[in-house]
Amino acid sequence: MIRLQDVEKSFRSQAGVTPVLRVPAFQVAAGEHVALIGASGSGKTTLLNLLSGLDRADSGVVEVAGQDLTRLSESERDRFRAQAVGYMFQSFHLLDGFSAVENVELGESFAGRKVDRGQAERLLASLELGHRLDYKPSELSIGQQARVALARALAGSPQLILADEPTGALDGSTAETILTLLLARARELGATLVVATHDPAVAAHFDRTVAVEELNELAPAAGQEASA
Amino acid sequence: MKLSQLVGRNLKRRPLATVLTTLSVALGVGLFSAIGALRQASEQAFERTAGMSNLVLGAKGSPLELTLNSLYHMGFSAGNIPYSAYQEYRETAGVQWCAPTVVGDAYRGFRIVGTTDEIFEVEVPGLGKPQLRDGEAWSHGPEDLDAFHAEVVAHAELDAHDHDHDHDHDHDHDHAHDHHDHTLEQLAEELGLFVAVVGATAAEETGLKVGSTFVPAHDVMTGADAHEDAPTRVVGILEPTGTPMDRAIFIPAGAFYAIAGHQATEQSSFGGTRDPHGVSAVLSYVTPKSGYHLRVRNAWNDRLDVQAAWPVIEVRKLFAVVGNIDAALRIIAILVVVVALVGVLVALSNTMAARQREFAVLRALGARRRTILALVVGESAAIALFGGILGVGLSALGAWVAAAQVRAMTGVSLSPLPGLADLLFLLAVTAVGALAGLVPAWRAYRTEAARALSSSL
Repeated sequence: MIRLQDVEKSFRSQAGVTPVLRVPAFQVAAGEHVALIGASGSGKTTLLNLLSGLDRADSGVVEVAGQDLTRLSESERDRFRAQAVGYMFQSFHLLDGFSAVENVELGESFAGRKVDRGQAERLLASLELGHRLDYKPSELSIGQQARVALARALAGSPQLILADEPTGALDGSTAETILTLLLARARELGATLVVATHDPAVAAHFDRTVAVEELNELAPAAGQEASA
Repeated sequence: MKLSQLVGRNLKRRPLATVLTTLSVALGVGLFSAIGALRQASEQAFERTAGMSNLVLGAKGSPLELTLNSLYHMGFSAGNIPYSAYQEYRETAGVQWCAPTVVGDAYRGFRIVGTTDEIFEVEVPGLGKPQLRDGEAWSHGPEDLDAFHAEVVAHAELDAHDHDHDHDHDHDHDHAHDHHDHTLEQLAEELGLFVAVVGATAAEETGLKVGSTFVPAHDVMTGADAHEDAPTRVVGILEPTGTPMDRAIFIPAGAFYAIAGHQATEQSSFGGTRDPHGVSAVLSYVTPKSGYHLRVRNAWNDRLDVQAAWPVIEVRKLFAVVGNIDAALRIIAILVVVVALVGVLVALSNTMAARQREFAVLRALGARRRTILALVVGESAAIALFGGILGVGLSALGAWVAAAQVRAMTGVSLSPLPGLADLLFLLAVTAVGALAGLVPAWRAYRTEAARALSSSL
């Protein structure tokens, strides 16, 4: 499902070029659930952005679902992301002016398919939010916001689900619930799941745990934090 | 979720900014539209009235002044033309309809027009002959007027004779004069000439009804010098015609000549022929066939004592002059719209920094850069479009209110419906609104989603 080969990524700024990622090789099988564990600044988010096509590697191969994302144009990567990837962010990033069900619909809005409001409602209902469909994010608890973010990532049944610290903003029991739901739904869909986390307890739930410090040759040693 | 829904939702999220910018666009578009609507409607209404009479005879002077005074009851009469000119004119080949007017009196600001019953036979374009809402029209035809006019002249000659005779006996003069006036008024009374048909607006505003009597006043502007000796009875009220007829009071011209003070003092301070027994103007319709209209006009314009004015042309000339003011007003309205659109641009630009996360999230969900561009441009265009629609609506409302006012003041009916020019302007404003949105949209377009998401954790 995922194959990275000799991937390098640098960030350019006025201060100059900062190399942040160098991954000689990394593979994830289809349907596998992998936790990328590492300290802040180790390159977890950068790696997820490369896997989603939100960012492009400077060199190497980033192959996802049979497509080398480094060879796709930006708009082709956008379409790929819309159709094949579900993304759950650490602070959920729900859009304020939209209701819960509309936020879920947004997850499907750019895939070129007809948006199914009923499906979005069923998805939220299955996450025990059937009574909060029309609530705005600000009217929901943090746990409910996490469920909406999860529903949005699951909308459209993506082949690949990426989650960046999905439980980072949650308390222990809520985090456990969300994590359980995430794993269960990914399994139901048969989707590949890659989660970035700094928490070993979270990583323990996954089929495989990969230490980013070992994966990324440019990552600072454990215990140190990089700026990127 | 469609792009249009996203646009709508984003606009609703910022209600104050959306409402204020929409209103500012509406103000400019409304101004532009109202100017155009009023201009077009008033031009049409003026031309409609001008269509009632395609040739007007009057004293030498400004043909526009003659047109405005005789047809629209505005301004002052430039003086009289000889009665004989009227008699001669009505026999001219090609003249299908004509009615003389003698003016100078008013009742509560509404002009009293002395004329013949031919006035009720006028064809109002799109309406036909004016109808009576109540009562009946008085009857006083051209021949009746000729006969009465002969009496007026005879009395005037007698007056002149008395005047010469009494030159050395001033103390007897007043008595002789009163005697002749009295006789003329008696004759008018016997002939039933102190009657009036009142236009719809004049009736409504003065409260005159069939059977009411009123006393004409000599001064149109102030209503001073009431002719207490000539109480006039209302016999008919006209239906509204949407023309200045609605604001006029029609009496037989004979009554006008009979009223004390009109026979000897009807002299104009504005030039024209000094014939106290003449007519102020002759409204007419000359057949346009076989070049009659042009020939009649030219022939009568060659005379020294009369001019023939073509009302439609005069009205168009007037609107050509007004058109410059109109263009200046429109430029101001366009500037208001431009300022409003700059306001839209600024309002949207101010939100861009705060919306980086929103754009990044949409990009992460698969939205292309051009979708983000379209979203912001769409918001700007939507404000311009809704502002424009609101503006056109407000202008229609404003023009409708103004139309009622103009009708009350002049009898001219305006029809202030939005036209093609408004639609085109609306489209142009929307397009420019979209262009204005390109500035903030470009910033949104350049949002680097990965970085924006990282920095907004």
